[in-house]
Amino acid sequence: MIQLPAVSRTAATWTYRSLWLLAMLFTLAIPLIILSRGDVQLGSVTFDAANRPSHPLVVIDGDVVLRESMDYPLIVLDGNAYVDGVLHDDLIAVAGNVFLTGRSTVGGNLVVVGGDVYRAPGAVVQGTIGATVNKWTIGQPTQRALDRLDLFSYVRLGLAFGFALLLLCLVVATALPWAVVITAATTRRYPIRSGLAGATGLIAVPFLLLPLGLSLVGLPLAMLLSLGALTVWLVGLAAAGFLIGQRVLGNQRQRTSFLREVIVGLAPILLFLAIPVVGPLLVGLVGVLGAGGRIVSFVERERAVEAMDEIAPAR
Amino acid sequence: MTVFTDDETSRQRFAEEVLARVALAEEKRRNRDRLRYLWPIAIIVVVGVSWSIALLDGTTVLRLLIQIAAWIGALAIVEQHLTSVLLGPFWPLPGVISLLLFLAAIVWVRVHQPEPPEMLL
Repeated sequence: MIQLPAVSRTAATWTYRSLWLLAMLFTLAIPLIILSRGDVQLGSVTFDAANRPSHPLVVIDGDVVLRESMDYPLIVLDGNAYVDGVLHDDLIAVAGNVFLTGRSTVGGNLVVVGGDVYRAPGAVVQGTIGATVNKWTIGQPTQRALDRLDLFSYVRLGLAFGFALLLLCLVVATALPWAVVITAATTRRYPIRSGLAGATGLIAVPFLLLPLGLSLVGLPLAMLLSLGALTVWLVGLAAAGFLIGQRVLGNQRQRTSFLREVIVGLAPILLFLAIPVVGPLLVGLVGVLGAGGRIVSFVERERAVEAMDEIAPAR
Repeated sequence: MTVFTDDETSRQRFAEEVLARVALAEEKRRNRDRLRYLWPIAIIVVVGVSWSIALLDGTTVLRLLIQIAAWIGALAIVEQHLTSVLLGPFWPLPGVISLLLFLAAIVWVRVHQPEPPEMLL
């Protein structure tokens, strides 16, 4: 067995805190570095013979028209990209469509999230396409995928998703009731620590998933990891529901059951899913907070015991 | 000594009340029996309507999941290239962050492990 060097608990505590803080600072530095390098453009932009792009570009809240060739990657956030020339690198669009004319070429990969690719006959994409591709002729009117979804459909889908989440949380609460109770107690006793642990997990999971998703060997591991992360998130969400349920049914606690408390607490949280954009973000963050509580209670067992002792007389 | 009061009228009234209650209970039971046959039909209708909605939404969600899997794969492919292009000389930063988080997690877990006690002073 490998013998670790003996260190004081205080030193070890400050070591992991410093490492964590450094990692968080570096994470915050990434967008600042991209901004400071001058690769970010706000609003629409058109590239032609007089205005050729000479560096990678992240365009936010605006459309991009590319009539010339470009040798650098192009990222468009909340806007459309019209490619009428040759793009030798990757093209990524988030919350917008990509239009490829008949004489366009994308030399790299093409990824579109929250939008579609409209491809005219003759358009060439040499890399991988991660998007829904539609046939398109110039002048044909189109809509963004997000705009196509009307409010009624969104609310219906949000409520259906909320109902599915409620069922999943009930399955988790039935299968792992003790984990839900401990997580709820820890989250209530240590909300800041739980929040920080949840935020760290939120940052760490993509850093793990993306490199694993690169290879065929890592892909199953990435899927397993996603499943584990989803389960922890569901436990966290169920724990948050349990906490709220306890508050709501406070005066009837003796006459109620664990699952009833979970359902009563989760129902109002999941109703928020009917609100576009803000709702899913809120539910996601509540789950992340609870997942942080799960992580803390799993690693720092003494804190979990302390948190359970605190609620023991009430139960 | 026991005194028996033979009040015919009150006995008659009591019997009528009992019979009325029995009739009421019987009526309720009959109503329940009539409605009992509606329960399976109602359940079938509710489940059928739920399925007809859930199938549509389920198909949408399944399609969304497949798209998300495709996006993760595609993002993983472009991630390394984009990192080097967008961060320039700071391209190792994501790797460094992963390493720091990994080390922090190891020390964090180690600090809170109760055994063996001699490891921590």
